[in-house]
Amino acid sequence: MGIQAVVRGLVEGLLVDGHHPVAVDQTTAVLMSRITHMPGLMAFGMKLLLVVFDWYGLLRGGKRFRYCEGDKRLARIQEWANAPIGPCRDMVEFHRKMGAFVALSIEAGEQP
Amino acid sequence: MKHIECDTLVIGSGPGGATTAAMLAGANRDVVLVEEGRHLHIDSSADHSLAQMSEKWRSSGLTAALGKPKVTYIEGRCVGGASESNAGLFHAPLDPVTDAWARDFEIADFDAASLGDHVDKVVDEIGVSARPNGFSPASQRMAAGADALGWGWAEIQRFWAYSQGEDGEFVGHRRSMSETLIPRGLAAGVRLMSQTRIDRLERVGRRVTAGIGLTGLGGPDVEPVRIDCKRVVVCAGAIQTPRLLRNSGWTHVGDGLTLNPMVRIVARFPEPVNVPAFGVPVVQIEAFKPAMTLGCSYSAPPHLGMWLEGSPREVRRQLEDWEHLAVFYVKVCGQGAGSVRTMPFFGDALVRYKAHPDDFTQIGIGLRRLAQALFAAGATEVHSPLPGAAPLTHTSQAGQMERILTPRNASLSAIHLHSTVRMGENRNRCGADSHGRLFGADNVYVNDSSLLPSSPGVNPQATILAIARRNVCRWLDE
Repeated sequence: MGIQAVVRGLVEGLLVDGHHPVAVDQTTAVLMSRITHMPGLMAFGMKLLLVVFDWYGLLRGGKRFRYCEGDKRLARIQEWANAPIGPCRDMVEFHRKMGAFVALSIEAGEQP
Repeated sequence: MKHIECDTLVIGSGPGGATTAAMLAGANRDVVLVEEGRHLHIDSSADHSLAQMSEKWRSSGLTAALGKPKVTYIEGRCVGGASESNAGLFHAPLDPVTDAWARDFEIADFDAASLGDHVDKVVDEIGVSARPNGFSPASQRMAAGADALGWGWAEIQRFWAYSQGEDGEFVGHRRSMSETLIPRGLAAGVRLMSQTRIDRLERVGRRVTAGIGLTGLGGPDVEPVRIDCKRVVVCAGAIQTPRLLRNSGWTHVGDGLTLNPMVRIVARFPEPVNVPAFGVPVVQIEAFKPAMTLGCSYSAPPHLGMWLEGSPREVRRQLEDWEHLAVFYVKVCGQGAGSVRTMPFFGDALVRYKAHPDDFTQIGIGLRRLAQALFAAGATEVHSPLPGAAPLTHTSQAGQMERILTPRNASLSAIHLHSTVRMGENRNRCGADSHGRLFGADNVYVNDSSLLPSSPGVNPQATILAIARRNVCRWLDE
């Protein structure tokens, strides 16, 4: 379903501050692997949410999330981070927390 | 299909399974010990690392109990189970909790004194010690804050051993199951099958005749396995034990899941307090146990990054002097309850947990107390666990923490799960008898955290080891 581009967009939106280098490709790869190895229902739910999140961008901003940049990308993330639906918030929280852990681990020299 | 025969099949190699296998083999029983994860060297990956999560935790640590809110938890999956990667904090069972279990769940031959004897044996066999060269600066702040407020605190011993190198520095060694009871069991004849999963127990009426599953998991040659046995001891933990039993037709287990919800926050100090080389901080504020525990977590930058809220730029700004930051936690004795079911189509356990409203009250009180202690210890900022909230900068603001978390916004995690096959003679509340024999079965036993009737209020590893030891002693007497 091509969710890697969505995960990558979330990593960039949630972790890149424009001043510090972030290992976006490696972080994305580790998060993809983590999603794959989640328990079945969680993995299915996460993939489904990522697909919905991607297309939600088309509804709200005229572009799928994977093609959004800058403020539009951040706006989509913020909408879901504060959404009334728990799993939407959880999806963003997972990418922020786990993404930060992975990216900073790589920065500290760990080989994923 | 691979075909194996044995007298006793032990499923799961964490503290309960390792104890069971080592003791039975030591008494000349023919034991096969099955573990789904790999048999890894204790130092195969660095503590608290990304690699350790992948190697030693089920689903790389990404497991959650569904509910409002969800509660993330971790399960060990390697030879030795969670003991290979946890903090190994040693807490003797609390006497009032033990007595309440005996009374409320009608557990026969169970009291604080006799369980204490088993705890002493566990300590002798595995080894428990305090850090010989003091504790970390973050722990020292925790203790100073407690002292300033007149709250009791303690340095918690660990299942750990220390040796002094030629340079005079102390080096710590985890006394995990793979370093202690597993080698003892292997020397006594235990046949260990790692990377092997039992999916169901084949039964004839009330008797199990074999465990059926797969072996060679994670390798190129996965094949079905059948292990014929005279008895089975299931020690796969509070989630996988009821999942297997329910898969095998015993549907009276899996309710009553208890856990200890935990919330972490970050505090900033004017001086450096964060020295990852010290490992897990070992000071806890004891004044409010067993209802709540306040303590300090491992706080290397990747861990700080997880618990700091804010924009990427703000998190990076905070991390510029990460040595001044440390992660602290509130852990409460959860009053909620959950369940474990088998999931059609997916094959995983479906875990649900409903937090009790009192849990949020207690967590709120705990966060307020933690903030008070941290400010009393000199903290200049105590961060909120919620995104977007400004850090507290003075102890007069600590009260805000009490009302901050709700079921909608809370992000809870748990390390200790129990009580899905509670032991006792009260058949309305328990899944197994006073010594772990499964109700409705003649030759199936449970011997892990599932048996604990409720949350023990402290780190449960010593309690699990002691109860497992007690039960095996009884089985051998029989």
